[in-house]
Amino acid sequence: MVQYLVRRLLWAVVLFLAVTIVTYVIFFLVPANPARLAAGQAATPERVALVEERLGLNDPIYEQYWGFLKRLVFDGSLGESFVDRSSVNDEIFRAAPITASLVFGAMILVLVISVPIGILSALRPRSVLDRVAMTYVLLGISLPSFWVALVLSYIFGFKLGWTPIAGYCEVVSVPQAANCGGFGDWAYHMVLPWLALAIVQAGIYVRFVRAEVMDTMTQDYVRTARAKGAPERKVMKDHILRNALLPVITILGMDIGLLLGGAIFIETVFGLNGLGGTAIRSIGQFDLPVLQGVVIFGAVAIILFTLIVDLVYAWVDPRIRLT
Amino acid sequence: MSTTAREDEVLGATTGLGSDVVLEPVSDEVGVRARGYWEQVWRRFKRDRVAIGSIFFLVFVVLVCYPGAWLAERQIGHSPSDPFTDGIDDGLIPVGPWSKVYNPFTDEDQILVLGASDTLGRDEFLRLLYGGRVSLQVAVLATIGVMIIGTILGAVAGYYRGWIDTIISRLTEITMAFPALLFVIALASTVGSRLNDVTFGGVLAPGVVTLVLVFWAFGWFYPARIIRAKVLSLREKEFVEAALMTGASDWRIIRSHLLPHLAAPIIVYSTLVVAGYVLAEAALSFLGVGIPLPTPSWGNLLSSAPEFYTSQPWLMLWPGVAVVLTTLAFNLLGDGLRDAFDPRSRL
Repeated sequence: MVQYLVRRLLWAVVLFLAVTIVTYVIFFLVPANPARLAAGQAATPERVALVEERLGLNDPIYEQYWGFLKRLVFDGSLGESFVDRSSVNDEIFRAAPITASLVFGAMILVLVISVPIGILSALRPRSVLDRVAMTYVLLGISLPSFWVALVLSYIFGFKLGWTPIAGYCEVVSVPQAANCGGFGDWAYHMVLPWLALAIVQAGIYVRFVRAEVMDTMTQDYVRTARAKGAPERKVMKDHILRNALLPVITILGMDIGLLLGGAIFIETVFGLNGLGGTAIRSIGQFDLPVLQGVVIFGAVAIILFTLIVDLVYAWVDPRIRLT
Repeated sequence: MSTTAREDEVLGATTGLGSDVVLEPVSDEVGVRARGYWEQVWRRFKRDRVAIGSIFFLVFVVLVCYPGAWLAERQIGHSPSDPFTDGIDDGLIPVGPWSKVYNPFTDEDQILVLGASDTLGRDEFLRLLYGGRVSLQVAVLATIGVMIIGTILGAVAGYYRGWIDTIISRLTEITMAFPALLFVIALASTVGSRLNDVTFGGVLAPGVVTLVLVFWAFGWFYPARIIRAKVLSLREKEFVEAALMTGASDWRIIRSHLLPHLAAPIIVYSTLVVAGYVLAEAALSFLGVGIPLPTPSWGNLLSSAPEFYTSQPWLMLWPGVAVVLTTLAFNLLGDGLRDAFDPRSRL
């Protein structure tokens, strides 16, 4: 286990380095001169040169990257916004909870939708329910999530008026000026975004759950359990589902990147000012440090999350560590 | 049986997963002919009405977008970029389907079949047709590139194994661990403005090259993994050993002995990947980092739709339905092809 842990941790570090290098290089490909952006529209050439010096833009790229990495790792700083000189960290700490509530809520919803449907359709292949489920799977991979979000918000938010179509409410530490807050308001505002993000994702999981359950049902230990005379309920619960759903949870852990990506669209549609909204806004303003900060934060979040899922999985299922 | 038929048969049996093809000792009296691999695939595929329907639909989409858009433009008399002042009403809202507008250039009243698409009052119908071209260009080019890179890397990694496999596999894992969408957005928005003007003399729409390159960069690893796994198992087969014994070169083995076996997964997977890229183009253009205006694409038609969310919801519908039907058709076709290539895969 220790060896596995060390290997896995080292790999996470390698990934982190790779992600930061690529991000850094991408932002060097930007057509505009970063110093000019940072100095502002009306800056004189001298001032631009000064900013260039201050930002270290005249150093070779690897030195700049090294400085950037040092600041990131030792000070935990992602730099300052070009637009208003505010700390990128603050911006991300403000935005991250919004995205996190969206992603984790949707994640739970994905499981709530896909696990029962997947199990039922695995138990009765080719039944009506199975066919309906397979149609759903097909729609899940064919529908653009942002379009589903638009349609949902049009029907349920605008036409029927059941849910709000935009906005976010804090659960804790509600600001004074806010006109809503608390758990109820938060959930009420998030229902549609959760649904929009989960409904498309869940399609793929239905197929996955179904395949896993069908595969597990043919295993020898299931036959053994039945032969021993274990009641069907117990076989289902302890032998089939327990083994079939474990990989599903791992895949969900690995797919957090997908959900995070999907969240960008859902945030755009529902006007949530999370990481996605922040990234899109910073693109419009050419605010590279903020965009870079979001990308790196997202990448680190995904690396950490997959690391945790892998370790938990290895702990639960000893077969993994041995390979 | 003639010799050519016999040759076809042998060819059919060797090019593919022809394990179930029985080659009977051919006595001239017996008129039974074993069916070749591709023939069997085609027989199974023919029976799949959904898949055949999807093919017809996709051909229809291509016809509508390529000659269709051009014909419609000639017929209607204005281009997809022509603004109409009549195309927006007093509240700056695009007019709805089947509205009459005055065209000052031809001095005639013209009909906007699906209404106007934006505050400039441009023709939604024509933009939808021309947008389809752009969306299909992106999806098809992205798929071709991704499959070529993925197949080469996957085949090389699976065949040679060793250090080259380690490098390619690690590279795959790193790419997979990236929050791809964030990087795609970052790349498209930074590199994009430099590449958007590359159109290869007007063959491609502006912005297509950027999207295609970005998709190549982050899309190759998926096919690479599939091909690698397939090659790893194929190279242990006896026919590879036999080929090695006869002194065939590595390149010859990969090309003549492995590649035919990879045709099925490549074809099936490509169809599914195209569907994914139609969605991806729509998604990125929706965020404003894909195809730049004024070039229409299904994605950027959708991105201007939320602006008229309450007043002109039709604008959400047309490009949305176009995207959904196209991806659905590609996915159904992919499923049909998979069943045809490997009947056991059907559950």
